[in-house]
Amino acid sequence: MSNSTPTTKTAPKPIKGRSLWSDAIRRLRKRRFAMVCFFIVMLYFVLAGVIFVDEQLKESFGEKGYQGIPAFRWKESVGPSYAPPVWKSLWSEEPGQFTWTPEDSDTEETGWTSFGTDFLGQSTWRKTLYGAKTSITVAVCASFISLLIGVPLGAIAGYYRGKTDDIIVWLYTTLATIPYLILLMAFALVLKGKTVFGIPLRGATAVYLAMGLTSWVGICRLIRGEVIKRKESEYVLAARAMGCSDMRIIFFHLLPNVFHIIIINFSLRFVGFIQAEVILSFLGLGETDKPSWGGMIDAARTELARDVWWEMTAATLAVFFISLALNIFGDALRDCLDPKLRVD
Amino acid sequence: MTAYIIRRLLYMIPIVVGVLLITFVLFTVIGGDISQQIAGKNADAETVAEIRAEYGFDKPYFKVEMAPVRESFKEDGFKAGMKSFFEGSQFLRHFKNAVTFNFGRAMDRQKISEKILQGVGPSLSLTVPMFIASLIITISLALAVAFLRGTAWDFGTVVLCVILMSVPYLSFIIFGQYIFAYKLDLFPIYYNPTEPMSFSVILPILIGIVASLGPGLRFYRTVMLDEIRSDYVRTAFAKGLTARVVLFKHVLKNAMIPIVTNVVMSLPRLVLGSLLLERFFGIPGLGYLMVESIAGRDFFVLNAMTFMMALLIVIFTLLTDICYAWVDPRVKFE
Amino acid sequence: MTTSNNFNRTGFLQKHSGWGLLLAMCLMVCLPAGCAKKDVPTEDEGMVLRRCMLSKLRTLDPCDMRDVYSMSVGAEMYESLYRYHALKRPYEITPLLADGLPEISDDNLTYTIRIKKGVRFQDDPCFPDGKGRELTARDFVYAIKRIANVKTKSRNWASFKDKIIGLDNFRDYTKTFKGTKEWDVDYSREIEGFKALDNHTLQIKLIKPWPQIIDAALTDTMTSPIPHEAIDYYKEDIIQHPVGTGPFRLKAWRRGCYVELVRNENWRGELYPSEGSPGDREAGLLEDAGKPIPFADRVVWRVIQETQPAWLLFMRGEFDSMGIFKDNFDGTINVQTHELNDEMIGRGVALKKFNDPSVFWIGFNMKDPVLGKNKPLRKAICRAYNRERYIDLFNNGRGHVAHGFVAPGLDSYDADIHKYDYSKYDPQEARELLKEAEEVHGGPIPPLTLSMPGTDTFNRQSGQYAQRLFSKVGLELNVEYMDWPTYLDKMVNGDLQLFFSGVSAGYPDAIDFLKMFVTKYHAPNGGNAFFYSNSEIDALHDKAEVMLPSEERLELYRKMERMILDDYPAVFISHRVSYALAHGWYENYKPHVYSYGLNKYRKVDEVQRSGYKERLKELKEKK
Repeated sequence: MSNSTPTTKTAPKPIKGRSLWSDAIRRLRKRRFAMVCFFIVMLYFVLAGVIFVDEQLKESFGEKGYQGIPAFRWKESVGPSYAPPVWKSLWSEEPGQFTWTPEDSDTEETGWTSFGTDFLGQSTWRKTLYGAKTSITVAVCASFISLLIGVPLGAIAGYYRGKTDDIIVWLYTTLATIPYLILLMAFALVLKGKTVFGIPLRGATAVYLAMGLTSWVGICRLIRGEVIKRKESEYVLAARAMGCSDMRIIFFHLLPNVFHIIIINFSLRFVGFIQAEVILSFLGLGETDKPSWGGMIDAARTELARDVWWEMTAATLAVFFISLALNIFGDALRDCLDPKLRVD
Repeated sequence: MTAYIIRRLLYMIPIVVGVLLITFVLFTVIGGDISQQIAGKNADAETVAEIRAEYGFDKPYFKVEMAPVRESFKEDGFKAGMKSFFEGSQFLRHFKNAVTFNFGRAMDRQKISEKILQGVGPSLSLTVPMFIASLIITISLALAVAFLRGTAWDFGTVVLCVILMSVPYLSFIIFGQYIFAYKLDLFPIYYNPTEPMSFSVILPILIGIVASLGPGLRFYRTVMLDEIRSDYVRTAFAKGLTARVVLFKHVLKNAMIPIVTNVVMSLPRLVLGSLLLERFFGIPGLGYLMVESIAGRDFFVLNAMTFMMALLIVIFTLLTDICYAWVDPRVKFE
Repeated sequence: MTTSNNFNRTGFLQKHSGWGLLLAMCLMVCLPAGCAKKDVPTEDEGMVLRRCMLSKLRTLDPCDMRDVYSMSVGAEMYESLYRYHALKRPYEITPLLADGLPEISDDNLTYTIRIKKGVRFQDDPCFPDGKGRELTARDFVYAIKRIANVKTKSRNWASFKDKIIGLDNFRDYTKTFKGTKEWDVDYSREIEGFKALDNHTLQIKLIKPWPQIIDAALTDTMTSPIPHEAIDYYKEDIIQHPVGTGPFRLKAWRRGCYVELVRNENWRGELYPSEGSPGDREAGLLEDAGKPIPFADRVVWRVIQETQPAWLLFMRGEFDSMGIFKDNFDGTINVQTHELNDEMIGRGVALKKFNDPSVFWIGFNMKDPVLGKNKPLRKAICRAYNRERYIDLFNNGRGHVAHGFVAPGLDSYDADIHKYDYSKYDPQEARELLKEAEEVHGGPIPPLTLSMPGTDTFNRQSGQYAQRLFSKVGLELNVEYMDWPTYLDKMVNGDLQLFFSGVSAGYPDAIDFLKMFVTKYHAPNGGNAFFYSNSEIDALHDKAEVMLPSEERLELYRKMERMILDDYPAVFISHRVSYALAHGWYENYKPHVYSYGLNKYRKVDEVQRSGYKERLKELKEKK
């Protein structure tokens, strides 16, 4: 897709006196819709963050009676199994199929059944909220791993050229030759259950490691191209004349100037990670211990037979909204940050 | 030209070796010895040892023990010597298997090459119609949208694309199957071997088209817009040509290069089929084989499929490059 | 591998060959699409049995058959010496390829078996003239040697270890054999204890008495005769080219998709049994008594690995019979009466319930430092597990609480076992026991890890359920969901702490259940994945192993069971009760828990079947 984007040579140079970033933010602010999307994305991130903090607190203060925020206690049974969402009774006379009523529902609080419950009487609503943490952890970690590999490799390859470049280009061309999904599944499959440097790769850990290890090719290629373009520019020559070391030039002079490319790539790649998590869950390679959107969609394979559609719908909507917001915001970000790539 | 082709061919070698290295590290070094799995639950140590020997798990990863190889050369002649050399380490064995396309037997003892060959047909009968249909639909829509750029239609299409792109693929399949096959009973729910394949693939093809509409349309719209903004289009309009002529004679023709590139590079992927669609609709293609091998941790099949797919992609890339070089003399031969 | 992107936009390509290239590409990819023909021809209809297979068929090589589907398809083509009677209950051994029951010497060590004359293998290109030759006793010897041959890598060797004179020596010989191919081994070596006396007499000599030899070995498809011509001809591909003596032969097998068998013209023929158990006549199972079998011309299994499509196809009349999946139970069965609901009765579906002699458990790894030496802890976990609820939730109530591990339906099942309270659910007592356990452990119990043999929804739900029960008594439980191969690998190597597992009896004798707790059968040399060790049990097992069925043996079995339960090596949860559904057109169907190869008795009323499909169509149009 990337080689189709036009790179016209008559791109307008950024106006002096304003940095690329302040310029971009000014442009972004004008796009109301993109800002709304940005807030939606932030909402997901904040949610994931709060759940993470809540979990840590529960671990440390659980014995002292800290129960955690009710909305995130997905493990509790809040009602009978497969209780339908409340509004279902509005159009259907039939009562839902209750296979069991837990003799001891774990909680007195009501209201959490409004989105329906799953087999064990757990609230769909809570599980969906928790799924945000699983998905975002996977996507953030995977992004960081891929950036951590891709960016330095790309920069080094572009800066030094020669043998180093050849090896790195060979490495990523080889990886790019294998279809992405196959590579991802293969990595997830072989990494699952292994122990690397004393860290057991279970559930989500194996997933994001596999995603990170397989998805650095795109960013590496982009950074390499940019560095090649910029390494003869004045500011690099000036830095070199001042006796800066190569590493200093790469990491303090070149990379900050291509940072916007990293951000754009990050925002667009993120959607891919969230969607890939769903597919890996279906294949039994995802997070199994805790709720995840992939797991909830996967459960629908058998649940739909009982006309239990709410769990899948909730997870699908959750994935849908963050993907939509990220897609739109990512596009807007690209337009604003990289004027050369602008389409309209 | 010949020199260019030869150079490109030579360039294939490190890539193929690279793929072999990656698959080796993945499936043999990290994946590890799976002979216990093959042997089954109550297998005794000897059976496991026998299987280890069959698949070469008892050999070192890279270093070859040269003494027995030399002996074999001396005693049994060149051919046996070469054989024992290539069996000497796991990597050499892996290399030899891949280069001779002899991947041995899968965990269920069927020949892997046979499995793959059987799967190609069903996969293609799913993916080829799906690909052609979605190509025609997306290109014509993209053309229309490019013509109507800036209008509400264009905006609506872009929004639709993003919406379609944001729905998880798995949801498309599960909902599609649930509504159209379970509830409405319009299509067969699962592949039925007593009926023609074309009957069973209709619903998966439709689902596949809808799911691929978003990204495809977005891509081709960008391509068309690039062209429509070029000078020659302005000139053509200025000459007083009708929109139809401009669109079909100029824009589409000029957009052909990115389109053809995209098409050619998608072709190898068609062979692989569609993992999820095949699994849900029971179409016994390569995607199904892949899912099954993952569930059974059959590294031998996965290894063979990864290698074959990579090889196909390398070959198709080479063909595209050579085509460009052939039609455009200005491609730099370096 | 990047495309040189400085090609010119007004070059040659887009002028002429752009369209051409696209067209060529389309043509190229269209060609294979045109070949999408149907896989199975439908013209020769006849009577067809339609079966569903929920996981794929592994092999059709008899010596390697161990999984349910391999055996159930394989037994249609390969016949063993004996088989259980199709109708009589309790199960009774009847000769199949053998001519009468074996002559057993007084010391129970020598078995002489006569083989039916005039039995022919199916026609196959592996025979010199393509015609199946006559079966001889040597084919049985060949089959047993194949199991013993280490190069065959048979899964069934464990059943024969230290049983038959000379067979272990043969295995030792194959171990030292230099080649790697099964057929290079010298099969002419004589085995003292498994000999063909003449063309139609077989003699078996045992090292020590093996009372279960007929049930465990001679009724099993693994010992079915196989012609050596077939191995010599097909080599390793014997797995997909079965050559047997059975009523059906393989017509087509597309792995992961379908298996089709057709009638074997060479089959010697048999008559439908004229005796059964009480009630069979009323049930219409004896209406075909004395008629020649098989009735069906073809048997087709479709492999459908997802439960919901399988269920729907059954409801649409594509399969003759089907089990009931957890998620379909409510729509099928009246939960109060546990009988079919009106809709299903209206469809003419019949329900058959039968005890499946099986047991499911959460096992403790006795090698584990936390669990192994802490009996109060194990007992506490047993008290904490709510078995009844589990059966209600996960089996829709289709099961008996496992008070011990010997399944109901076996003669040594102890009807009074529930009195010993091994299966009591008592969280209060569990909490008290935990205090004791903490003393034994010398500190609080660390989090435990339960391994589930799958990553699907069912396993996830039952894992979470266990977690919930554990947390109620104050135990922390982590659950690991593994794919089956990983699980197996770890279980066999004793790397699991708590593990969810189960077993089903292969023949009506509880000895296999007891073997799971004997030291010499520690995994991977046997089924003892608990790594349970008790010298008393070992001694009693050695005694029980060679005993003929008797009242004394029953007592010994029951005593051993209680001794083992006293050590709490596992939380035994449930014995399954199977519910099978059959459409009205499916006749002569009586579920059988031990025997395979019963399709020769089954019959389908095609008229009734098409009537059902017509009704469905009408219903659909009305909607």
